[in-house]
Amino acid sequence: MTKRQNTAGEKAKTVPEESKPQTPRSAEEAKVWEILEQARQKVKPIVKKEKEAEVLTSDLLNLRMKAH
Amino acid sequence: MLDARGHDYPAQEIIVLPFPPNLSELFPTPRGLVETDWPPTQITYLGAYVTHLGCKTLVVETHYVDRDYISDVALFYSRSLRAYPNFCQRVHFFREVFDQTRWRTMTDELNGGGNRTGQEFLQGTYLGFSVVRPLPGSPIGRTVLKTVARRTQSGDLREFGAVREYLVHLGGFELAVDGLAFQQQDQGVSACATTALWSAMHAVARKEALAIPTPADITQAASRYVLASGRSLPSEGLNIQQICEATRAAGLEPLVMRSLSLEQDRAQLLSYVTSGFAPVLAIQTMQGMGHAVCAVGVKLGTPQPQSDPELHFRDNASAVSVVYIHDDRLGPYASADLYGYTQAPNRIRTALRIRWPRTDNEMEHAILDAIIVPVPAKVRLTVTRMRELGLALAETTGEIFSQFNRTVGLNTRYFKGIDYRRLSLDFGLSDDGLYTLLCELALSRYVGVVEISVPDGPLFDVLLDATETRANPAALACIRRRLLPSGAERELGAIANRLGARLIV
Repeated sequence: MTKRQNTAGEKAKTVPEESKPQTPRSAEEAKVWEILEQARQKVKPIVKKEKEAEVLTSDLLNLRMKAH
Repeated sequence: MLDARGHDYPAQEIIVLPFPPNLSELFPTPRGLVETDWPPTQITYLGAYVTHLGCKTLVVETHYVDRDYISDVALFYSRSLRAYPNFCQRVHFFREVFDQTRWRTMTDELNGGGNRTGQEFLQGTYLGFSVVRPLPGSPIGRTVLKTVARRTQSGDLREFGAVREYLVHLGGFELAVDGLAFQQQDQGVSACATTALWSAMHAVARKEALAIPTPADITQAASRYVLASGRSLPSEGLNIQQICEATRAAGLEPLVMRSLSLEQDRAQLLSYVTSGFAPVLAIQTMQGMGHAVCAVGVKLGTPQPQSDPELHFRDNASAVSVVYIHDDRLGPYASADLYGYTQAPNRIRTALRIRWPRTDNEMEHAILDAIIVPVPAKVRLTVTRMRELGLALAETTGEIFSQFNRTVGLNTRYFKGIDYRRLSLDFGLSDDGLYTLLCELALSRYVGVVEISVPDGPLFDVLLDATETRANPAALACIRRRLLPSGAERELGAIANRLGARLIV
């Protein structure tokens, strides 16, 4: 009988070490991370506006569609 | 002696007809005072649409049992005084000329099983079918037709992402047609929202091997717990809550978004439609009447340049100029231009200008109120959440690769994990990269894909776990695509590292 993989209590195979979020590995990588963070800040107003679309009101949920 | 009613089995005929100059000639005018104009718009539209597809011949099955209609009969029409038949007729449309004699010959050639000439001829010329219900005022039942050409005369691209294959059995032949089912509301069992949701379910339920609910199922499920007005039958329309109830009853989940801006609505429509999910659009006519249609495809022109001088990318959703809709007052794949409508001094709404096929005749203007998308339960990550990451990645890429001169673009969509793996065979990945993607990376059933591209094609994808909610990081991998500049793997690796994702090159 072969041993089962990933049973309860066993750890699933982890992702390789190099793909875990960590401190930058080089100055070049630090620069990319900095640009990414700046980009996140720049697009925040767009993201905020887009998220407002997910806020639903009872008026909207009660909108009735019956045209024919 | 009493009549022996209903003891005999029905007979069936298959009749081949030349396509008439006016399709409505085939539809008898109902008896009595017809409340609306005859022929109804849906028949005129259907005739115009199949004429545009090049229809030359009709084949009519005189006795066709339609699952959706018979379900309507069971729920509603069987209790009417008038004895509505429980069967329909089905009309098939073909692009080539042939007659009854040729039909007979093709059928005879099937004898023995070896001759596929007729099968190949019919399949090559098949345009789809329309079920004709025995309902005097609303005859157009389940209708599946081919879409118009993918490329427009002006070079724009049409993406009918929500269509799927339907197999059709006609005589001894099995034919296939790619389309999405449409039908006219009958105002007995179904109203506009019922048929729009029914079409949307046709697109998505099959992906999950779920039974597609009939309009009668939808009406019953929608009015089980929430009844906005006095009665469920005859149907007096549905509200968004009821659409959500009916969606959940079918084993799917409803995503509901308010319409806030044209840019955002374009992005939502593009992402969901190209992923094979058909959104229901809650619209309001300029007369203030609520209506629902089903979005099936979009037309894409050129993405618009970035209007914010601080940003270094453009949103590929800005290329969406038209949404193709199933509008049950009109017909399948009706073209609706998207535009910004100034409703109040500081309020610009998304509006649709719904047109007839291949003409500039305007049918109607309407305001978009909400987008409702029935999705599989395992799609938990919304397009909005994907775009939150995608916008930042597109801006980062545009900043790093200044040689692209602000033409870096953003797309978001969903794939089934197995479909994405299949597509990746053409990404030009290294053997190791492809092996990792195919064999070593665990994928969710659906993956969200943020695609960062330039006008000639994709630079890289970020794969997201679509089973995640907004609370947790969900990046699975950053995957190199063909147009990523050589040497840029380091920057992509840095992004992957920051996202906690695998780098696949």
